[in-house]
Amino acid sequence: MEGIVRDVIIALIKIAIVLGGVALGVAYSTYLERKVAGWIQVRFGPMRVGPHGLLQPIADGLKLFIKEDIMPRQADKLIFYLSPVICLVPAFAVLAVIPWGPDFYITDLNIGLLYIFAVASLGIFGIVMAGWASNSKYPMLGGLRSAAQMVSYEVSLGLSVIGALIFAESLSMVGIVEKQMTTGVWFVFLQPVGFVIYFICGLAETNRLPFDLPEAEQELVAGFHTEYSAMKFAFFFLAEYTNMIVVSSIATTVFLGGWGSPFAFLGIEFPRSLGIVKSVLDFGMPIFWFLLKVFLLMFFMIWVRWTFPRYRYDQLMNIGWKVLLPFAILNIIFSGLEFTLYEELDWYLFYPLAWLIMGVMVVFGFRLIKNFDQFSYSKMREEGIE
Amino acid sequence: MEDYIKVKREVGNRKDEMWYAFLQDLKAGLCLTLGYLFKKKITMQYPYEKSTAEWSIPLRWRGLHALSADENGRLKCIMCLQCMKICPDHCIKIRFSGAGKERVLEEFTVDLSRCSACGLCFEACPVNSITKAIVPTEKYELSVYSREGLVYKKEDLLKNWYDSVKSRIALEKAENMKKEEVKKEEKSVES
Repeated sequence: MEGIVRDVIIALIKIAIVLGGVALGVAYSTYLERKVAGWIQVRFGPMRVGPHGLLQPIADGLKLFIKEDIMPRQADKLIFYLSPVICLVPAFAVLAVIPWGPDFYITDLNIGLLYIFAVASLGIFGIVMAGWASNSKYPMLGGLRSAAQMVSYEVSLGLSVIGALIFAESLSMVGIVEKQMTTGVWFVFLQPVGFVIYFICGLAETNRLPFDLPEAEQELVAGFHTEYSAMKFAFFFLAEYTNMIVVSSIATTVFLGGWGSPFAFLGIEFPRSLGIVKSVLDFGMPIFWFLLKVFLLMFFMIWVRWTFPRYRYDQLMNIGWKVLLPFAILNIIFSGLEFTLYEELDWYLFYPLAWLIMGVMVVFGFRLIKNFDQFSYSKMREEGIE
Repeated sequence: MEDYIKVKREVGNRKDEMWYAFLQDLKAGLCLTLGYLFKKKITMQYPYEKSTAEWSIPLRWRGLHALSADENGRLKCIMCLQCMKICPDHCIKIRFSGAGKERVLEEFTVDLSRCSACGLCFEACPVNSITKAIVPTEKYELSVYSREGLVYKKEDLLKNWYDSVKSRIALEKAENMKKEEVKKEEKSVES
């Protein structure tokens, strides 16, 4: 009985730390977003609240708490209240299996990655329901777009990690990281195509900019959350940025070696003479490396957002179905071949060969896709549909 | 803009499909924005810094009115009432006593609550001794807490003149001109 109580207390403390940390991370990722946006546009970004605007996220949060909560008269009340929660809960639920460090994760499910993909895709319901419940045209359009986009990109997202799973031989998040630690190679070097596809699909799944059609400011005001204000809007905002952190964390875990240090191959260990400092460092350094990788990926997402223009709707669908899906399937076939080579060959033979085959695959895949398009265009011309 | 043209030219020249297949077009765009990320920022933090090394208010800025004075502190205004007559909003009020050359300016009021900043008063002024008698200064923060604050009396207008950069420039110019005159006189005496 005592054991159970102790376990529950430890779990609760872990959950509190993770949720608090992520909420703080979300607040400061909005700060990062605004700063990077400013810097890219040769501005300063937020500068007024606190030194270099460091208290800006807190001021924003307070503002959202205090603001008036407006609801359209024609809205479907229950669903209107429910959808921000439905959007937020899956985003937080996914955090349960993310391994922040070797001794710091809430739980280690043996189907961790499957759980993530299953739960994370529930968040779309929130967006679609928000679009429906607002009873207004822009949210409706945003919700519909979001539904179509998520369905298209979920497929490629799921398929893109299978290549890495073949090498990991496990679905457990901790298992995937430990496999990368023992073999000493991050899966991004074995699966670069998978990583690129995963990242592009991740951008689409989190509604980030080249793919932010559900909330396209210029066409749909704010898309699915046009009618939302105050705390309900903050929930959507929180969900979006939590999703960004989750997508970056999964990419870090599956492709970038999780908590592994990039200098692990040097084999440096903290000397035993340090005593308690050594144990603190042993606990803290992996978490630091994990958070650093997540931060860099977040920065890359923001950088991409302020670089590329938004895709048109048909282009979005074309990329999802005609480019990413074929490449994801090709990548799975290639991964099987690569795995057999990996088992058979020495590393100095394996890597040049694997990367050569990978290059050929990309070229071949690109030609194939182009032929698809030409085929469909000629078909269209024959039938007189333009 | 030059960077943009460079990238565009690069993308335009390399249209072979392999360039796109390995995402090189996206890389070009990302490199461009990364360059801008580290560029020097051009924002001026307005209420904290009102002019930077690159930018300050130009001298010809038509800001707050001022009544200019010469180097001896005498007002240049000759009480011709031209500015009062041309003002479309009737915001200038002039009152003087005496007649002929003994006229004394008793009141010169500019009511900025009515002023439309057309600048006609500055143009109409016939005085031309280095500056006009009524001049625009570079001061542009005109908001006050009460309506009465917008009415500028003669003393306020004179204070505006001494606060502005123009008074210092005019003073320097006047001194230079004096020196030149002295030199000329010396030359004429020598010859």
